[in-house]
Amino acid sequence: MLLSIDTSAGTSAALFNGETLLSSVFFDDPFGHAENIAGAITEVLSQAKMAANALEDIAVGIGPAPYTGLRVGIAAAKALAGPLGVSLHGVMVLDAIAFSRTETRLLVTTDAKRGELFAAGYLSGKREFGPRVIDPSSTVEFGDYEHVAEPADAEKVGRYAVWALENGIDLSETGAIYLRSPDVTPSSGKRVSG
Amino acid sequence: MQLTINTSEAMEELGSKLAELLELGDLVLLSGELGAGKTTLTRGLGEALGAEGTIQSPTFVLAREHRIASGGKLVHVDAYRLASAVELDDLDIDFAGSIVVVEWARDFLAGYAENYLSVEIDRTSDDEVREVLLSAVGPRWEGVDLAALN
Amino acid sequence: MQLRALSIDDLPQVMDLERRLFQNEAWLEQTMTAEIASAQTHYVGAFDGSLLGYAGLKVSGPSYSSDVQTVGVEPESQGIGIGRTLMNELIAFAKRQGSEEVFLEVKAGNESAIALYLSLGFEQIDVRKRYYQPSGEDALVMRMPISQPVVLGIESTCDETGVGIVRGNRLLANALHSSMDEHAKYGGVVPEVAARAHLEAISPTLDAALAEAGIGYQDIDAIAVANGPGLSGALMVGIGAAKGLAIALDKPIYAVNHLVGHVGADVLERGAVEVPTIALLVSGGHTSLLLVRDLLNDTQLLGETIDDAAGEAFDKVARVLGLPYPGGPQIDKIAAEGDPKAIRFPRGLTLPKDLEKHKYNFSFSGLKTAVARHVEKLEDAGQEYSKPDVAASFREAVIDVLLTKSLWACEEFGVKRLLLGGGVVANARLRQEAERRCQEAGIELRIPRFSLCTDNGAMIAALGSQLIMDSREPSGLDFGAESTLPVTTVQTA
Repeated sequence: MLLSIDTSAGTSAALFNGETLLSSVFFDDPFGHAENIAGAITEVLSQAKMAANALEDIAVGIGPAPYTGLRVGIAAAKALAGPLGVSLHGVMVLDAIAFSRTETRLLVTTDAKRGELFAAGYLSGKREFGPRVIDPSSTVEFGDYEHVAEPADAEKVGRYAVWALENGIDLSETGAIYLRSPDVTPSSGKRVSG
Repeated sequence: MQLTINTSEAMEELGSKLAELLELGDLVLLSGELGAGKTTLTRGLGEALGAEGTIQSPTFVLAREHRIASGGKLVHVDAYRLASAVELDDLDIDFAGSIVVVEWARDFLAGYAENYLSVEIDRTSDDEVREVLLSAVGPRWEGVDLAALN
Repeated sequence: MQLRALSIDDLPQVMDLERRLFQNEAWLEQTMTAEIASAQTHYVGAFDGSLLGYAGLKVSGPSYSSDVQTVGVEPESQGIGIGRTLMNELIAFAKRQGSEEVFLEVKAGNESAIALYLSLGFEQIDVRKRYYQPSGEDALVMRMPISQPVVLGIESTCDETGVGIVRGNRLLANALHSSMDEHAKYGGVVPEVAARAHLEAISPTLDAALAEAGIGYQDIDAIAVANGPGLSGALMVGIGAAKGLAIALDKPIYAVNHLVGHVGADVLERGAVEVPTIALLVSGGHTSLLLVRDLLNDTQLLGETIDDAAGEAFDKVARVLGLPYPGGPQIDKIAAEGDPKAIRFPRGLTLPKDLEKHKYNFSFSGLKTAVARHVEKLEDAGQEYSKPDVAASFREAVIDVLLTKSLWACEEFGVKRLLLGGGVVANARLRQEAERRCQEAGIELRIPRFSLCTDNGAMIAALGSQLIMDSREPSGLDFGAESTLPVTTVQTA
C-alpha cells in the first residue's frame, strides 16, 4: 500500500495497491496547502477504507516547485513516515510528469514564478538534463522536443514511485528541490538623515 | 499630485482616504527615508480597511499579512532587504486576493507591475511636516481621481 | 441541587455546618476564611436553597499534587450522592490544575466515606496513628493517581524549530534547532531561509524530543502546534508536520496561539498557572503587553508596538553602530562600558498626549531614528563619540519604556505579578532593572528559565495540555497558518 502526496501545485494525495489506484483527492487552491493537506490524506484513506497504519510506503513530490506549498507536503510526509515506520520516497516532480507521457523527446516545464520555468528534458523515458530554471523564451531552443507544461499531482507522483521502486530506482532523496538560493540582500547601513 | 502633511495624525488620515480608492489586486509602492511615516500611513490604511491585528513595521519579517473586512488581505511588505523585484515572488503573496503595500519600494519595483500607485514621502526642514507625492501608473488607474485624497 | 464555588459570603452557612458535623474538631472560622480565600484552594458547595455539603481541595503546583482538605455533608442529606458529586468536582479541578495525584485523610472508622473514596479510585497508602485530636482516632492516608495527557508541541513561527513534550504541566522534553546563525548575514530573519531550515530540522528535532523524554510515538496522547502569529511560510512547515503526526498516530490536534504559549510557559516552572498576571513579551518579532486573568479564557492585549519590535530596534541600532546581527547581545556587550545617562534618548509614547490612545503601546521607531541622527551628526562633524555611551543610553531608553508601561499596567489593573517572556529576557540589564522596579512596587516578578522564554516547543505543548485538561474540543484538520493571529484567539477551531 503506497500513499503519494504532492503539494507542488495544488494539494493532492493518492493511494495505490501495487499499480492499482485505489483513491485520489485533489485540491487546486494554490494558497491552501496547509489547510488542505490533512483533508487530502484522510480522504484518500477513508475512500479506500484504509487506516494509516496499513501503509507500507509513502512517496512525496519534492519539487522543483514554488517553495511554500511544496514544503507542506514534504513536512507532512516526513511526519507520517516516522511514527508509521514506513519508507519515505522522494519524487522529482518533472520525472513524474514525464512518466505520464509517451513521447520520445520531452521538454517538461512547470511554473517557477519570477517569470521563469522549471524544466527537464527526457529522451525515451530517461532524463537527459535538468531539473533547472530556464527563461520561457529559451524553450524555442528545444524545437525537436514535445513541450509539456502541466502541473504534477499525487497520482502522477504515485504512479512514478510505484514503477521506480519496482525498477530499483533510487528515491531516497527526500529534501526539497529549490534550484534557487533564498537570495535576500545582505544588509548594509542605511542613512536616515541627509 | 502633491500634498503637504503636517502631523502624523494627518498621515494616518491620508492612509484611510487611500483605503477608499483601493481594491483587492492593487499595489501601492511607498518610498521615503527612515522615519518618514510609511508605517504611519499604512496604519491609517489598515484601520480603514478593518485590518486584523496591529500594523507594525514589516522589516523583521519582510512581509506581514492582515485579513481585512472585505474578505481579502492587506499585505505589508518591507522591500529594503530584497535585491530585486522578482524576489517578491519568494514571499508567496496572493496578489490578486490582496492589497499589497510595499515599503522601500525603490526604482526596481516600478517595472514589476503594470499597475501601481506610488506614494513618495519626503521629510522637510520641519521635523513634523512631510511632502507627499502621489502618482498612479497603469490602466487600472485611468480615470481615477487622486484629488479625492486631498 | 446546585454546585458552585464558595465565597466568603457563604462563610456563616459553612461554619454552621462545619460545627454541627465536626463539633469539637471543627475548624476555626479564621482557618475556614483563609482556606476559602486562598488562591491555591478550590472550595465548592452543594446547595438546595440552603447549604447541603461542601468540600475543599488544595493544589500544590510544584509537587504536581492536590490534597482534599475537607468534605462535609449535612447529616440528613447523606447517602444520596452529594459527597460523590463534591469529590468528583474536586478531582476534576485537580486534573485541570495539572495534579498527577490527589491525597486525602479519612477517619479509620468512617466506613461509608472510605467506601466512597475506594470507589472513586483512591487507595490506602498509609495509616497515621492518633491523627485526630482530641478523639485520638487513626487516619487513613489515601491516594488517587490522575493520568495527565502526554502532548507533543511543535513551534515553527520564526527561526527556531522547537519540539517539546509535556505530561500535564510537567516538562518532559524541550528540543530546539535554531537557524539564527543563517540569518546573521542578512541582518534579520529571512522567511525563506527560516522555512527551509524548519523543513530540514523537523524530523531530527522530533527524534531528539522523543529521546529526551524517553518515550515513543505510541505514548503521545495529542499534538499541539503554533499556527500563529508568525511567518506564514515557516508556520506552514510546522502545521504540515503536526497534521502528518496527528494522522499517523490517530490523535487529536490543537492549533494554539504562539504568544499565549509564551505566557503559559511558566506553568512548566510552577506546575500551575498563576493568574492574574501582566505579561511582557519581547522578542525580535514581538513587543506585546498582556493582561492575563485566565490563561485560556481571559487574555487581553493591552498594547503592542505600533512600528518596530524592541528586538528589531536593537538590530537596527546595532547596524547604525556598525555591530553585527543579532543586535541585542552586541549592544549589551558594549553598553556594559557605557554611561546609560550620557544621552537622553526619547521614550516613545510616554508623553501625556500619547496616553489616551497609546498608554500601553510601544514605539521604537523614533528612538531608532534619534540614535541614528545623533551618530550621523557627530560623524559628519568629524567628532569622536563613545559607542558604549550611545549603546548604553539607547538600551536604557528601551528598558525604561518597557518596564514603565508594564508597571503602569500592574497598577491600573491591580495585578501584583509581572511575567517576562521572549528572547529579550536574555538581556541582563533588563532583568536587573525589572527586579529592582518590581521589588520597589511590591510586584512579584516571574521569569521562566531562558529555554522556556525564547521560542520553544514545550510552551506550545503546555498550552495544548492546558486545553485538554480543560476538556476543550480539538481543532479541526483544516486550520491554516495565521500570521497575524490575535492574542484573544487561544485556539483555532
